[in-house]
Parts: sequence; structure tokens; C-alpha cells
Amino acid sequence: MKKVLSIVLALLIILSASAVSAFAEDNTVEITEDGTYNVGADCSRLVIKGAKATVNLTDASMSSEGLGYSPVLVTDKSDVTFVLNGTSEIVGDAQKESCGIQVDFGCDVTFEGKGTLNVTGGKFGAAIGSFGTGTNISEDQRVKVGTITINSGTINAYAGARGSGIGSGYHVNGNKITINGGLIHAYGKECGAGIGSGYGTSGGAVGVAAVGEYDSGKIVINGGEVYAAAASNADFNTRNYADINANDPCSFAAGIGGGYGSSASDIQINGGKVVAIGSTGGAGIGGGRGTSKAANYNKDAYKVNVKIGGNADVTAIAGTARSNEANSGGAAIGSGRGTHTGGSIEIKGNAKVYALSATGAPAIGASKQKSPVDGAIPKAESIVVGDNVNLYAVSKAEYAVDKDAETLSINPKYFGSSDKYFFGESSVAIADCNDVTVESPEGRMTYVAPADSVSLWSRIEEFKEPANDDSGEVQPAAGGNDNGSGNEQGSGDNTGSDNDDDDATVTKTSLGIVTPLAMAVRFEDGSVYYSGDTLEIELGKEYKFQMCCVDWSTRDDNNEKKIHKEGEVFTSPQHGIYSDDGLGLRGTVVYTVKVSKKYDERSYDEAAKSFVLPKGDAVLRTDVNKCFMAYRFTFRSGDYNKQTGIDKVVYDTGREHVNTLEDFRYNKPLEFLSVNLPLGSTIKAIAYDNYEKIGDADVFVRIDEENPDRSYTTYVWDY
Amino acid sequence: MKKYRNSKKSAVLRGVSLVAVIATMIGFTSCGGVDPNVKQKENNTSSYQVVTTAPASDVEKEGFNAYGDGLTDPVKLKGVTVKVSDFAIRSFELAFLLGSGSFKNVEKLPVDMLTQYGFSHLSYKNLYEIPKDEVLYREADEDQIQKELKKHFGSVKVDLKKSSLYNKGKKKFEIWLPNYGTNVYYRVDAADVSKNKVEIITTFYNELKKSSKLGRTTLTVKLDNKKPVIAELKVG
Repeated sequence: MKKVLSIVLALLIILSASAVSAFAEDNTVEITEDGTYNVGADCSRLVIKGAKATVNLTDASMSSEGLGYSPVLVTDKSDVTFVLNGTSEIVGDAQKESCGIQVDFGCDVTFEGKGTLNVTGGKFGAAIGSFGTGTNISEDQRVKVGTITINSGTINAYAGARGSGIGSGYHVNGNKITINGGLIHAYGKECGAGIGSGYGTSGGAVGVAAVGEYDSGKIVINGGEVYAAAASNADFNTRNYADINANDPCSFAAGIGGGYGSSASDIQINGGKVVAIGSTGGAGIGGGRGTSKAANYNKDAYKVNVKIGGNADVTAIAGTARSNEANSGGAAIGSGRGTHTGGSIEIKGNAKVYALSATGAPAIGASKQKSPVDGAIPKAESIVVGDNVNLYAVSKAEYAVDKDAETLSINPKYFGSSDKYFFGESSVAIADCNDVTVESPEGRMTYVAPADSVSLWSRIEEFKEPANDDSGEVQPAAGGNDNGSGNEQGSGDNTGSDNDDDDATVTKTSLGIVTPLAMAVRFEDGSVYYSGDTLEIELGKEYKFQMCCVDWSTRDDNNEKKIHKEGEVFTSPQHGIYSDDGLGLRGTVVYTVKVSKKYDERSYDEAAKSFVLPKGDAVLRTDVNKCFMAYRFTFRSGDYNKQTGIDKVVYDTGREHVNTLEDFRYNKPLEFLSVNLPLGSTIKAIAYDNYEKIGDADVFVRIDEENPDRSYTTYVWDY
Repeated sequence: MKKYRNSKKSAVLRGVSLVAVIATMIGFTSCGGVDPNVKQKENNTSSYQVVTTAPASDVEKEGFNAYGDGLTDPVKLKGVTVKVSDFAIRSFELAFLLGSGSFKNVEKLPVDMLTQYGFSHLSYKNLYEIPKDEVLYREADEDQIQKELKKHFGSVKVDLKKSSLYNKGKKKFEIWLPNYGTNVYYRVDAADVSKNKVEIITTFYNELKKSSKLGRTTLTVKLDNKKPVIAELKVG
């Protein structure tokens, strides 16, 4: 009866040929005829059926909490343009499958205007798009969402559990999303992408619901400012941009593209400013996290196809993997972890692209976790980078760009001189990227990479021969006494003080420290420094140091964990602790560092293990330059439910106060353990099957003589 | 298949064993095998040349020490004295402090490992004595390390300058001595003296009472210019 009444009322309003608000008894507005409508604060629910409508959405406030439906429903082949005025709030039902704005398949929805829309999805639902279901469903049932276009306005879209911010919900494919303008923040939740598809699958059967058989659809960005992130399982403050940090565990989804288990078959970014953050195996832009099981993966279905061009300004970040998967999370642009291919990536035009991978995956290309299909290391099918592209790529991997791509088109002039780093040690280091903060007019989104997770900022630019020492302009010293004479070289000939000019005045300077993940440097006076630390040293003096790794049980991302040690209780730092009395391990190789009195002198003499750093930019980067070896442990008969521990580093402490996720993560042997270790140390590695010890081995940590440029060593347990 | 047993035996068993050894001595001499169930207190005519069973220590001392028992006294190889306990410790160092694993040719060991072994021995006769909570810097020339390695392994043709411990700028080897400091608990199960070599079979333990095994090694000692040197190591 209500329905009939509302239809009649709506028809009357339409016939009046004026834009008016219409309400049924429960303040539901139901639009079934073409026309223009005003919807404001009095509306509790908006349903548009089979209509081509323009809806002026002005300071609307709708919530379906406890009601079990989407507060805004666009259905039955409707074509709706929402004109945003003021600030509207729309919230779905977190307890029942629903969206904030539900756009059914066959419908087209466009947003424009100057207002703000804050919209939150309900259970298994996108903020704007479709909701889904908790069980795998057949392919024909996954088509649920219509097309979504944003031309202007400010939209903050927060997914419900397992949904995308803008796109599809749980177990549902994406369709088409076009962004031509506006300011958009979109956050997926619990394995949903920021923009694209929701949680696809963690692995059903091939042909039914395998990883790769879900897809984020077509995503086109032509303009606007777009910030999209895969957010965490945990509740996050959806109204405080600064608090949203995609670096939380278990999101498994791309920032833009696929949710967990989903392909990203068609992403085109032709303009605008885009920031996309994937996490825990999801790509920044591209596919969602895959699987480790061939039976749950469809290699023919999993696709990644990303094209960036025009004047697009793109920042793509693949956040950290889970602690035992640091060898490779998702690529910044490309595929997620546990997939067979990196797909095709094309960056052309005058695009400016920042791509950052915080794990062992390349910034651009394929995740380097072995393929679930054949165990091979995945590689991108095609990577094309045009000559006019301004590309910054950084990764913890050996290569910022997937050099193994089957087709790789990039101007060779961009290459540096090093074989180890694809873009060369001679490329320009531009920034420390521990903190990436993206500002926008409405707020900001901060991604905090682990302080020591990133090995290299490398910039692709036209290769230039390094300026020789004589040609470098010598800047006046801060103390005013540097005469600039002399031509300092990379390694000193003597130990101890190494003043190689006539400057009698000792000038001190700050030395910044960057280490590989979970490592530290120990100077000869016994002081220990971690990534992000600084110390004061004398200019021109050579200092000896050694590499150490920390005891992982002392690491704590939140600086909250209480460490019990010899009767003392103290708060553990994020980076963990090395100490000479038994926490962690130390190496035997002697390195030296000296800060030059010149501004333009920077070198690492590998044969002498000697760093020379320029005054004014003295950062000791031990995360490159062969100062450590990353060991990866795997099992000959398969890694499932098998773990590796290392005495004094990653081990079961036997503590009784294990009560947080961090405690568990850092105090237990780990599957797929990848750990950075100091050269010359000997580790006691222990193999476990379901946490039951099955063997051990003493392993000397060294550089592989047959592959001296390789920065990791794979240790295969004979189990 | 060889079976090894604790060398601590009763006098009765030793008496029985003596008869057994005499009866089977010729056979074992020809094949170089050893039955560790058969240990003799004084049998200088035996190919085993095992002299005594050392009493186990039952009190731990301050600092890092080696607590060995079993066949820890010297044996003779072609008239050359081979200090069994010393070589047992060497096998511990290689197997458990450096993680060498088994090897049949010392030149196949990683150059970093070999250099570190020799370099560390320049400062400490026994690597388990290197302080655990001190960090000690050392320098050395190549010939010093080569000489040390020669003492342990005989002539070794390895380019030590490929080691990470070599500073090409200074033309010196440098090291932060590894903190190997630990107690060593071991029992030499057998010292098999054959024509050209001695096989020293040692079980290592985690604690003084020797109830928890750390591992077992078989170290082969040969003569190089009439000096006993390490030729092979089998771990496990």
C-alpha cells in the first residue's frame, strides 16, 4: 500500500514539471518516472526504479542501520545523475548485506556538483556500487553492479566489510567506473579494493570461483583527484583521513583494481591526480592478492592490464606484506602476491608516476612470490614505458621495474651503470620515502612505510655521466673553514682519523642511518643505531661499523609491546633491538663510513667496504651495497604449515604473555621466512612442521660466490 | 652400517672387548673400520691405538670451557701424535660455530668461511673461547691467515682476497671477531686409526650431563708434511 502511495505521489510531482521533494509515510522517496528531483534531509530512503532522473542531493542524511537495505537504491535500468549540494551522509546497514548507494546492474549513475557526499557501505557492500554474498557464487550471478561515473564533487566512500569503496561487494565482479573530475577518497575494507572490486575469493575451484575469476571491471580515470586505498580488517576512523593507514595487515586488495583474489583486467588512467595504496599482497594499482595453491588459481582468468597516459599524476604504493611474506607482496603497479603473471603495464604520454613497493616485489611488474601454477617466479607479460614519462620507481626488490618481463620496452638511455639495480646506482636518489604523505584539500592520507623497508629511490631520467670530483663545485663548509682543496676518494688508506685536507678545525655533522628491515649498525664504540636514527660524527673522520640483525621478538609496530628480559619490563621499539649481550646477531665484516667535507662526494667502494658521503646529505644507506644477505627459507616437499625459526632472531621465546598479534607474529617461527642477516654470522635455523621441530641446521651467512650480485639466498629444507 | 656406543664401559666389558679386538683385529686393520664397542685401555699394538677413557667433568667452571670425555688422549698416525681432543674441538668449530656442513675438500668451503676460520684462529687457539659479549676488531695480512690455515688444513689453494673480510683499499684483512663464546660438551666415541688417516668420531651435547645431543661429527685427519691436518668432515 505504501509502495503504491509513493508511486502515485511521485507521479504527481513529476507531472508538475518541477523539481520537488516527495516522501512516503516512512520518508522513502521512490522515483519511477524520468525527471528532476530534490532530495534533502527529510528523506530516509531513496529508491529509483526504471527512471532517467536527476537528483539534487542536498544535505541528505540517510542510514539503514538495523533496517537491512541500502538507503539509496538505483535499480531497474535507471539512469541517474546525482547533483551534490551541501554535505550528505549515507550509511548502509553494517549487519545486513547492503550498500550506501546501491547501483544495480543495468543502471547508470553519475555524480556531479559542488557538494560533498560521505557514503559508507553495509555488510559485504561497497559504499557506492553493489553488495555481495558470503559464499562463492556462479559467474552469471556475480554481475550485480551498474556503471558509475563521477564528474565533480567531493566523495568520500568507505566500504562496508569486504566491499570496495566504489565498485563491487563481496564475491561480485566490478563493471565500469569512470572518473572525470572531483575529489574522491575511496577505501575498501577487509579485502576490498579502494576502487574496483570487493573481496573476490581466497580460493574456490577453477572454473567455479578460483582466484582470478573475479574481476574489477573497467576503471577509467580521466581527471580529478583520486585517493584510493585498501584498508584494514580492523575498524578505522572513517572520518579522519590522517588516521587511515593502509599499512595494516590482511587487506589483501589493491588500492585501485582487484580485491582479494580478483583480476584487474582493464584500468586506464588518462589524467588527473591519483594516489592508490594496496596492502598485504595487493597491488597499489592492479590485481588483488592471489593464492599459493594451483587448484585455487585460474591462470587463464587472472589478468592485469594497466594503462597510464596523458598528463596523469599517479602515485601507486604496495604496502607491506604480512611479516612472513616480506620477500614479496604486491607490486605497486601490476599483480598481487600469489599470482602467475604481472600482466601488461603501459605508461605513456607525459604521465608522472611514482611507484613504491615496500616489499621484495618490483614497483612495476609482477609480484615475485613463486607462481601457484608452476612454482616459477612470475613475470610481467609486457611493460612499456614511453620516453616522455617521468617515472620514479622504488622497491625493496633487486629491480624497481620487472626486468624479466616477457616484453620490456623502455628507452635504454634511462639505464644506469649498475647491473644490480635496474635503474642504476648512478640514478638520482631523490628522497627518503619512509613517510609518504599525500595532501589533499579535504584532508590527507598518510602511508608510513616501515622505516627500513625501502632500499632505493631511483629515478628514471636521462642518464648522465657522473660528474668527476674535479668538476664538482665545492660549497663553503658550514663551519666556514673548508678550503675545498684535495680530492677525496672513496676509501681511506688508514684506519682511524682520516683528515685529508689542511683544515685544522674539526667540524661535526649529522649522519643519518638507513638499514635493511630488522637490522642495525653497531659502531666501534659500541653504540647501536637503527633506521631513522642520526648521530653526530666528525667530518673527514673514518668510522668503523658492523651490521647486526635484531631479535624479532623485540619488534613492535605499535611501540606498545612489553618486553620481559632478565626481570626487567620495557617497551619495545618498532625497529626491535640488537644488543651485544644476546639479542640478535652481529656480523664480522668491517665497514667504514666517512662524511666528506665536500658536498658532491658520494661513493661506496665495495672492495674496501667503505662509504664516503657528502656533507649536507650524509645518509648511510646500508640497505643497499651488499651489507647484508636476505635468506629465504622454503621446504622441498612444500611449505604448507611448515615454519622456520632462527635462534636469537625469529624464535619461540616461550613467553607466557603472548596476547597480541604482534607477540604472535614476532615470537613464532614463520612460514616462508625471509630474514635479513649480517654477513659472517652463523645462524641456528630450525625447521618446524606445524610448529613441531623437525630439524635444524647451522648456516654461515655469506655472499654467494657464484652469484655475487644476488642479494638473497634461498635455503631449502630437505623436508 | 656402523653403530657407535658410549665409550664408558665397565671393566668387565672392556675385558671381553679386549678378547674380541684381538680376535678381529686383522679384519678391521684391512678395511679401516672400527667397532667402537671395542675400546681398550692399553693396547699399543692395536690399530686403534686408543689409550684411555677420560673421566667426564661434573662441575662447570667459570668462563668458556670444553668438557670432553671418551677417547681424548693422543693417538699415533705413522708415528705422529694426533691430539684427539684438539681435533674434536676443531670439528665442533667447523660444524657448529661456522656451519660448514660436511666437506671432503677444504678448498670447496666458501672463501668467507675459510678466511674467517683462519683469521679467528690467529687470535684464539679455541674459537669457543672468543668472548661472547665483547666486540673485538682485528687486522691481519694474507700470509698470516694462510699460515694459520696451513696449520689446520695443510696447503690450501684458495684466493683469500675474494673474502668479504679483505679490504682492498688497505690491503689488509679486517674482522670483528665473531662472538663464538660457548661451552663445548663432547664425547669422543672413537678414533679410528688406519694406514693413512685417523677418523675421530665425536658426539656433541647441549649440556654438561650430556643428555641432549647437539650433533655428531666424523673428522678425518691426515698427515701433511708429517703434520696432522684436517682433511674431511662429516656432520650428522
